[in-house]
Amino acid sequence: MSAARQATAGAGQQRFGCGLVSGTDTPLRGREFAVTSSGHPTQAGRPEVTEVDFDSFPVVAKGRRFEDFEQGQVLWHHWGRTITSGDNALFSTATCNWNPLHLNAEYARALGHPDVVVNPMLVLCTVVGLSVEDLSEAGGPFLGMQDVVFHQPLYPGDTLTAGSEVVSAVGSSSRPRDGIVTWRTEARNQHGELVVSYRRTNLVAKRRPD
Amino acid sequence: MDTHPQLTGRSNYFEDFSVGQRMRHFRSATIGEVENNCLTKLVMNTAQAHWNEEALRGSPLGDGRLVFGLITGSLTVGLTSQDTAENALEELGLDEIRFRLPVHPGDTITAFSEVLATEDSPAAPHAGVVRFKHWGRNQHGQVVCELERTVLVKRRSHDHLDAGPPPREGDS
Repeated sequence: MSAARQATAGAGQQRFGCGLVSGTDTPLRGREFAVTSSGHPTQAGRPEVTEVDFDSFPVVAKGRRFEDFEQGQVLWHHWGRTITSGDNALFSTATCNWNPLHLNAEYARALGHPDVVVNPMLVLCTVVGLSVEDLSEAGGPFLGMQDVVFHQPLYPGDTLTAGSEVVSAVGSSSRPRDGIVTWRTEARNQHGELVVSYRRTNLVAKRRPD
Repeated sequence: MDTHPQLTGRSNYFEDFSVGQRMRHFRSATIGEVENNCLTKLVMNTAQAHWNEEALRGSPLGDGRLVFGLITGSLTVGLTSQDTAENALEELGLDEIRFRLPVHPGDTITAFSEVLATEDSPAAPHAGVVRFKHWGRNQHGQVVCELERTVLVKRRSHDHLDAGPPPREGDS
């Protein structure tokens, strides 16, 4: 495709990667065709095929490396999460935790709760999940967790937000490519009340090996 | 309190647990798409090694997806839950969680428990605190995760539910 024709594919049109273009002898992988913003083919009557060098697109990288952590650093994690009764029912049943405290609202009310108690393992998994991009997504095995305390029950409709503090970040003498980082994480509900806290330790890849 | 007299088991009150007691739990579970893929995303875990089949191809960790450790841990706890927490009032905490070996989709987890301690609870005289050690083992007999767990469990002596159904009108 000429530069001029590529330019005309700009305004009012969107580009979609597509591997299903037929009738040409060029490889399917790595091509796209242009359609108008309403989703119809261009005026030429058939999709316009061009080569796109996807390998040249910069990755929008996620995660932190060992060098990005220092003792005492505080990280507030993204998104937050409202836990629904559906989340709790799916998680509890899929993990074989059929306890009526988590799945029978009348039973839970009889024990003094306003609704079922959200499975604490779901609370813990969600808080760890919210922290992954900041703490461990860039790679390294999950070594373990200590001192997990469930401070109070969470109920469907409650919203969790989480933050962590770096407790320690030390090199590993046996693994020059990794360091060992320990964080203390806390999660609170929408009223600012502490719901769960714990310490977690991971191997974290270094940007530059020793 | 007296509307559901028969919903939970009769053999797992606080008084039924003793230090050193061991349990091999009856049901095992295979980790499939729901347990790993679905739950890992449900809990917002953005680490794609758990749900992108291509992410680890050719890496030292081996081809294919890795199961999120806490899903294995949660399944291990779940498999123990009827025997350890059916009469629980509250899950108090966990400790010493270790993931010893990688788990892959298709692996089957069997759970084992031992009672480490039983204690009175001054704050809850109608219940007591039981500390368990749990192990999750794969289909090859290897321990893949272990953890300790502390649960507040009802006392039979204080449980109105154990008094039987409330008398009905007309009963004599």
